[in-house]
Parts: sequence; structure tokens; C-alpha cells
Amino acid sequence: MKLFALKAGSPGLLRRAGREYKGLVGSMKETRGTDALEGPGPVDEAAAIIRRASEAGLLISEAEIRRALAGGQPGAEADREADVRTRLLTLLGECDDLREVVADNGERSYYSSLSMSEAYAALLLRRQGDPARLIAEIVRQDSEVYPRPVPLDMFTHPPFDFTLEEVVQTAAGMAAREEYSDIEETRTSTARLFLYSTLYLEPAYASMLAEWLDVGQSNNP
Amino acid sequence: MKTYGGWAGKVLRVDLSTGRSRTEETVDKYKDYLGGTGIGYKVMWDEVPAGTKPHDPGNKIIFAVGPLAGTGAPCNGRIAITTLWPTCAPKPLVATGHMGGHFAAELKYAGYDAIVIEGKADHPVWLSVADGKVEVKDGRHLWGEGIRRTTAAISQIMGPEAVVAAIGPAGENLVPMSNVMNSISHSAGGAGSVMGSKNLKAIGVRGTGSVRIGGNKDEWEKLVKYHLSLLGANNQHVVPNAPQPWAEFWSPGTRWVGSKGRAWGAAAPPIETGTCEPHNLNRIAYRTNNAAFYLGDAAWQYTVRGNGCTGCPIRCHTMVKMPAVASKYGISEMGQNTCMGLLFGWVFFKSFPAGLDGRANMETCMVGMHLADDLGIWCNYGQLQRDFQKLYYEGHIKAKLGEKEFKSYSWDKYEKGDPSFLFELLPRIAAKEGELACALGLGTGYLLERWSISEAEWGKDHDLAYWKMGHPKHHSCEEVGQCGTLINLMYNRDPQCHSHVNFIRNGLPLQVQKKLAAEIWGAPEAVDAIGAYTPMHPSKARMAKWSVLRKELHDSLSLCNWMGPWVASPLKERGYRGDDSLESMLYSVATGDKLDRQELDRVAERIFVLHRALTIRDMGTKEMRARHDLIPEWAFEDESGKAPFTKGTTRMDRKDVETAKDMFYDELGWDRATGAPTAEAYRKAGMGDVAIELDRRNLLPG
Amino acid sequence: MGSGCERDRSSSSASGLAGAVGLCSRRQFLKVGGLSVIGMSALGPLLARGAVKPLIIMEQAQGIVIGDPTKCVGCRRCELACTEFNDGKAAPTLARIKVDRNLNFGPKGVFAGQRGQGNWGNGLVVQDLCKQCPHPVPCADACPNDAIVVAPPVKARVVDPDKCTGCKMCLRACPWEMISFDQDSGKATKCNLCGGKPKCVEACPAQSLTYLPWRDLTDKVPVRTAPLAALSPEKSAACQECHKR
Repeated sequence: MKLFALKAGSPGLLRRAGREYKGLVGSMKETRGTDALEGPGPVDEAAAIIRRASEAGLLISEAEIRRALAGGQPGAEADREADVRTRLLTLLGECDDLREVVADNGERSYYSSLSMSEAYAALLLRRQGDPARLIAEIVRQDSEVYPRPVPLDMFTHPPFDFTLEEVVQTAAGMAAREEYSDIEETRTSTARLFLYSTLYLEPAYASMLAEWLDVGQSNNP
Repeated sequence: MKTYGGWAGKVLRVDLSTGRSRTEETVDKYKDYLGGTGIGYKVMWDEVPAGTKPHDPGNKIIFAVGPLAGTGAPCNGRIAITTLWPTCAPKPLVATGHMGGHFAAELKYAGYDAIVIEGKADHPVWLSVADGKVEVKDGRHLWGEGIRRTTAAISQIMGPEAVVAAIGPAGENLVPMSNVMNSISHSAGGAGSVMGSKNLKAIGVRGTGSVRIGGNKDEWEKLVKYHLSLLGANNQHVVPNAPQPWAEFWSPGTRWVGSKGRAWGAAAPPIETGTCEPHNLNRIAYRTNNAAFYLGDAAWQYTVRGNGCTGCPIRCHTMVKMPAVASKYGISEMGQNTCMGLLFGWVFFKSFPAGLDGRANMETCMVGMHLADDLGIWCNYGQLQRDFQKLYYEGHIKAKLGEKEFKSYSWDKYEKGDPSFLFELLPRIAAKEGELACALGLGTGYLLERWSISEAEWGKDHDLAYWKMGHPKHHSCEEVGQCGTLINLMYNRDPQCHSHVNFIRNGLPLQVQKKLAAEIWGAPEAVDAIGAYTPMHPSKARMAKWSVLRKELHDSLSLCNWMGPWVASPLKERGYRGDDSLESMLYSVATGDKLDRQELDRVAERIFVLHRALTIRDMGTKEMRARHDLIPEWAFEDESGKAPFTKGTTRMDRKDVETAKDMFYDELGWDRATGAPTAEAYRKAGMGDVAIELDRRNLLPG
Repeated sequence: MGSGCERDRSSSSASGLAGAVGLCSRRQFLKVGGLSVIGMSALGPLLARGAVKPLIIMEQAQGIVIGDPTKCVGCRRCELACTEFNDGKAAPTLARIKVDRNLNFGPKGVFAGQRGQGNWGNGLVVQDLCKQCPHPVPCADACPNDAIVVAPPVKARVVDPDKCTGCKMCLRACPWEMISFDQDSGKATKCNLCGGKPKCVEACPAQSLTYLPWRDLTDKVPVRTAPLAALSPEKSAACQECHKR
């Protein structure tokens, strides 16, 4: 970078001194939070694609990675299928943060633990499949682990994003199915519907917890 | 003489009877009590005799902070206010309140750790503290003004950086249910009328000085960043409100509401909060939005940004902009507050035309804030509003008011949930206009007395939240079983203690909480799932002791007990552990006085025990267990008849509660029969002189 | 030197108080300074005897901190980080990022009431930041002891405490009132960009501050005051070398 030393008789330099000096500082980085695009392991475009997707809160399937690598050129994908799979296997071995999850239909998806938890990835994976199975799993997990019943309207919010009709219909359908016989409902005093699993919560307890979550906590700010 | 960092060094004494002020050396006189409530209790013990009444000139009001106030320690922006409490029934006793905002920090920069207000001015005055220059100024032109105009007027004299703590007409008129406020939305309930009784309208502070860090500044920087790394959202909730990509857990009850797709909608242009990943310390302020937490998703579109105290990254106050209310009610479109301050107007009403989630909710909040935060009315943690509902719907108001007064209120508006009703009610409370206003303004204890309603009737009601001595519960057995119950026994108003509930509501699964609890309080039995309580256990007594000690410690150091302690964190790599030594580390580096966790907790215990001594002395009895540490009937009942220790009830068991008290008093080294500290307990706490004085009055057990 | 509610800043704007502020401020400053110049001839003998030429900063800074007032949540952690981590004391009045003076009512001050910015107005909190001025650098040029210098690694304009005598001329020279005075040391102090890792940017919990490659903001940000400093005769003479009248 040039130094503008004061020199008698060098007006040209001095005229430039007052201008905004762009381009001088290409090496400067904006200091703004964390940059998660870089991660452990070799720099690899497939790895970057996975990490970017995780940053955005999304799983990315093998097919989507292939498409992204092919740059949207039709026909190029099929040729590279085997390449991509090998590449991904290698990456999984070399990069601590890259993980693979497999759906019931065998489809593989990938995420980076730098910005996504195992629990969230599992949730997204389940979200791709049968809504009933998703709801049941969440309800059972919450009933066991926290423990708490789950408000039905939670499934209308991110990352579930079902419509209310979808949720209500799914829940109604589950009532008839044997494999969901442990999933019960309870209504609070504001008529808000909660689901719980009888495997982990007794009805009276679930009902009390739902009322607490819906009304009691707000009455004890 | 060793010099310490942290403390500003001077306690300011202002005698309003003479108009003169003087200073004392903080460290010489009060180091063993740290600051805040510690200094408050010490002054009350030494200088305000038993039998003094809140509005007597002999009462004192102590505004005090601790060595951490004004520093970069996260969450240090609160000032404690200690005095004889006007709403404490049947006999006023010593209690404390706090206010956040910028007053605490500014006081430190002005060079003071505390202001002790004594006596009574013979005409309205305001106190000006500009660095070393202290003046008692004529306040007659301010008397009668609301808090906002008072603040503007004093700011015009002292400059835009001045911080003004002012009372409104409620405090001036000696309404016990009044507060003092600074920085627009930060209130200390209960203290307003004490200032009013001294003719003190406001305190304006401007400080251009500094708070020195006693230890090494690089060490301080590391420590502050370490503390920041362990922060969750408001109330130290360490788990997000909904599933987030980075999180293993989530909990719909937490205040960590920032997420992708949610934005500060009234910012120009709107600002998305994003996923607020916990390692990103530059986005802590986006985690919490209490307007949205309390009022629902609709509040996001009205949110301008977060706000709050000096140095706190959490921003638990929400600044909202609602243009509709300006033309509809003739009030400002801008409002800001948190928690009960935000909900002040809303809690009065039983229902709203559009239901509980309607937009009317926000409008009512705006009207409530507009009125209450200018008139300076206190809610007593919502007891004012809950009492009002019960008194109205059960016919007490109609029975007690004359026909003329009853007709002067638009009850149809009230029943319809019309916020404009508040324009009729609140100004009258502040002005003591009429029987209803006077009664409500007394606080629950004296209201019941005035209207010949038995306290027992209030104590039976499950929805009223009444606890004892004129005040409500504050995070008691309904959520934290025996631990919450014990905490609520100890004070002379609602305890304002969040140590325990911050942990219980942090959103972590029960097993993780139990694991942490075992490390902190000795056994996983310390915490139960709510509604699945188990019998009393020594670890619960330890948790209760820890809770109150840390509350006093925070109130004396200047740390916010609505955020701390920080024994859990959002960091999976730490097993969600926080650090139980944060307070002692911050204290040690800030002051240069190295105390470890146990040593500092012993100082906290001294402060807590002094509060107990004050209560005993001023009640004139050592029978705390029988006469002070009381539990309302509703705590022992379940409306559907479930038995204690069954799943689905928070009902307490009488025998178990007595065991809880036994274990708790044991934990503190107090006498079981009376619940009073023994002479040995006082001596161990470094207060042998207190023991002697109480012995003289026959107030020592055994 | 307080921010003084008695000063009405409503007339400040980007184009400035005509002739005295804004883009003109630094040039006007030189004109005023030049009026008291002794003249090249007077300086000549001094230079011939090997006297040190006065420092006139010509180099650009390499970085600058900018603030987004819509994101500032008024926590003041920036002021605390600036002073605690640099000076070992929490001292907002000393901070080289200045938020407190705009926090309640905005830059227009207390008479803006509830119609201004800040906590009492529309919520916007303007963060006052050092522009790391290009030539002519008002604070540096005003210093009679050449105590404000360009410092590595990012060429921030920095007060050299060994040379500063505490005369406060720089405080009066800055049109944005960005220089602080440390009562304890008796010296002026200003933003040095923390050597390229600004602590205020690191500390902000709302991501409202950004550290960027330097750009000239001197004609984009309204000034706070009319500068009142005077150039020393030596500096004026040095200016004459290039800016011939």
C-alpha cells in the first residue's frame, strides 16, 4: 500500500488523497459473526454444498447434491451418480462434521453438525415421510423425555409447517390406527388441544401439564 | 489501606429535613455487606428502629448497587431499594424492590454505591446528583406531573444522558400501591409512596466517571466473554422455544423465541431474528422477545426492537409501535415494558371480545403502560388486577361502593373488555379518588381489612395467587414444590426470587436437570417434574437455601436475579452445564478481593440472615415458624381432589411441608421450633452484635 | 465539555452549517488556520536548521466501524468493551464509540422529546463513531504536539500518550465530538480500531456494528458541532506548501 508522504511539489498525489480509496483493502474481512462455510476436512464443493444447506436449516439429499454439482446441466447427473456416492463416502470419512441419515425409503440425506443437531436432522427426515409417524414420534419423545404433552398447533409452525387441516386430519386418522393407540388427546380450559402418549404420561398428569403449559405459566409470569 | 475496584467508593447520605448531604466510605463501612440489599438491611438495622412506619420521616429509603453495577459483567443493571414496606400487612416490615434501566450504572459513574434518603423535606424537592455535585432542588413545579414529563424536565436541566428516577401522582398522594421508575419502563414497585412521604419527587443522576476493574483487564475480558458464552435467553432459558437446527432440545415454554422467519416487524426495514445459534454472541439480543412471548405471534409485527438495562445483552423489555392506539385512545403509538409491566392493563380484564389472542390484548397493554408508567401505579405482581376481578365479579365492589360512586364507573365497558375503562380506573387510583380507588391503592392486606373481608377467604382461592401478609406468591409450590414454598415463606412481600424457577423452566429434559441438580445441590432428588412432586429431601432444602442466598447476592452485587444464577447453559458440549462460580469470579476480578464461591455465599448468607433479624426485631417476636412463615390454604388443596405426591397435582402435604421447614432451618443453622436464627448462627454470619441486640429484646430462640 | 442540552443541533445536516461544517469543515478549518500563518519565509529558516516538519497525515485508514441505528438495542456494551478491555475501567464517557449521548432522545438532544429518536422517540439509537478521517485530519492537524499519529496495523488515527499534553485542542477540532479525555491520565484518547479487531464490534449483541474497509463518511454523517480549534503556526505553514493561497 502506498504511503502518501508529504512532499513539496507533488500535487497529483495529494489530489488523490481526499478520495474514497476503494480496492485498497481487498484482504480485509468484515467482522460479522461466525463463518460456518469453512469446516474441518479438505475443501470440497460437495462438502460446502452440504454445509450451506445445513446453515439454511435444510437436509440435502444425494440427488440434490448431484444436481448442484452438475450445475443444472441435464444428462450430466446420471453419469456422475457412482462418482458422487463414492465422493460422499470419502467425505464422511474425512470430515468430522458431515453426517448421513437414511429415510425409510432408502433415500440418503446429509447435514453438517456444525450447524445442525442430530435431533433436528432426524426431525427433518421424519418430516419427509408419513405425518402420522412424525407426530407420533414427537409426541412420544416429548412425553417421555421432558416430560410434557404437545400442543397440536405446534405442527403448524416451522419446521413442521403443516396446515391446521392437515394436522387435524392426521390426528383424527391416528386415533383409528393400532400402532398409535397410545396417542391420546386432552383439551385445556382455553379449548387448546394437546397430544400425549399414554406410554409415558397418565391422563390426569397430561391434562394438568397441558393446562400448566397453556394457562398456568402465563399466570405466573 | 487496600483499594478495591468495583465499588465507586462513596455512600451518599441526603437528609431532606435539613437539605444537607454528606458521604461515607463504602468499603470501610459496608464491605462485609457488599452493596444493594446488604447496605439496605444494614442501614435499616442500625438506624431505623422497630415501630417506625413507612411514611414516617424516620423511615429511610436506600437506593443501593454493588461492585458489579456499571461494569461489563452481563446482566448487572439493577438497583435495589430497601425501606419499610407500605403494603406489608398487618404491620409494615422491611422489604426490597429493584429497578433496572440505567440508574444503577449512572449512579456508579457519578461516584456513588448508594444513596440513603433520610428525613422529610418541608416542600416538594428533587435531588440532583451530578458527579460530585449534590443538590436538593425545589420540586414544586414538578409535583403533580407524571413520571414522563418529570423525566423530560429534569433531562432538560441535567442533559440527555441523565437518568431520572421519579414518582408519579400515585407516589405523591401516598398511595401504597405506587412505584418509582427510571428509563421509561423500569419500575421498582412499592417504594413510590415512601419517596412521596418525604416530598421527594425524583432523583436525577449524571455521572461522567468510571468503575475501575480491580483485577487484570485481560482476565476480566476473558471472564466476561466466558459469562456471555453461557447465557441463554431471558430468565436463563437455555433451550429454544421451537425446534431450531442447532438445538438438541426445545420447549414451548421458554423465552428463546427468536427464529428464522420471525422479525422485528416495526423496525424500518424489518430485522429478522434468525436462528440465534448459541455460540454467536453477536446475536444474543435477538433470542428474546417478551411481547411475543406473552402476547403471541401477533406481537412480532409491532416490535421495534428489544430494550433493557445497562450492559445486559438479553433485552427483556420490548419496544412496540402500534399506530392504531394513537388515534383510538389519544396515546403515544410507542410503548415498552416486559412481563407484568407489559401486561398491566390486560390482566384487569376477564375476557376480550376477540378472545384471548385478539389484537385487543395488545391495545389494552398499550393503554395500561401509558397510564400506569406515568401515574406510577404498582401492580404487586398482578395482585391488584386479580383482586379487582374477584372483587367485581363476586359483588364486593358493588356492595362497598355507594350507589353514586358505583354508577360513576362504566362497568359495561369493563365487562366487555374495553381498554378505555382503564382511563376511568387508573387515574383515580393515583388520585385516591373515591372508595374503590382508595381501597385498591392500599394493597391487598389493608384492602381486606378496610372492607372486612377475611384473609382466609383470599387464601382459599386457587386463582388469586394470594400468599400472605398482603402479597402474592412468586414462583412457589405451583411449580417448584417444596423449594418454591420455602422461598415464599421468607420475605415480607413477594420474594422476587428467580434462582429456582430460572432453572426449572430452562427447557432441559428432566433427566438433564436432575444430573445438573445432583452436581449443584447434592442429589438428583433436588428437582421434581412439575406436577409429579416427591416427598421432601435434604437436597431440596439446599436448593432453597441456594436460591435465596443467590437472590440476596445478586441484589447486593448488582446482578439480575431474573437472569442468574447461570448453572445451566445452552452448550451441549458442556453437558448444558453453566458455572456456579460466576458470581464469585466476577466479584473477585472486578474488586480485586478474591473470594471463592463458598466464601461469597457466606457473605450472601450474612445479608439474608440480617433480613431475618430485621423481620424478627420489627415483628417483635421470634416465632417466625408460627407467625411469619405462613402458607395459604389453597396450597394444600387440589380442586379435583387429587392427593399430594400423585401425578397431576401440585398439592402440598402439610406434614411434608413441616419437614421441609425443619430441613431448611437446619440447613441454615436456625432453631427448628421458632424458625429463628440462633445466637450461634448470627455469630457465624459475623453478626454477633445483632445477636446481642436481639437477646436484649428476648428475641433469640432457646 | 458536555454534550450540553443547551445546544440546539436541529440545524445540522449533511450539507452542514454553511461554510463551517460538513465537507467544508476540514477545509474551512484550514482556511481559518491559514489566516494566522506566519508564511513560508518564516518557516524556511526553521527547516534549514533541521527542525522537524510538522506531521500532516496523508495516509488513508484501512478500516472503519459503522453502526446500524435500527439494530442498536441501547445496551451500551460497546462503550463498556471499549473502555474496560482497553483501559481497565468501565467509563462510557471515555468510550470512543459514543451511544449514551444519543440513547434517550437521539442526536438532536433532549428538546426532541418524544418526537426524536432514541428510547424516548422512535427507538433509533445512532452510534457515533470515529470516521478515521482522510486528509485533512482535523484532530491530528489541530494537535500542537503531533500527538495524533497513524498507527499500524490498520492506519487508524491514534493518540500517542507520550506526546499528548492534555491541551484538549483535538477535542475542539473534531466536528463529531469523537475525542475523549481521560481524567485519570490527563490525556486525550480516540478510537484506534483496536488494532484491527474492534472490541465494540465484537461486543455488540445485536450485530449492529460492522468493521469494514475504510470509506469516506465525512460528508455523509451530520456533524455535532462547529469545530473551535486553531492550527498552530507551524502546521499552517506546512499546509501552505500544498494549498497555496
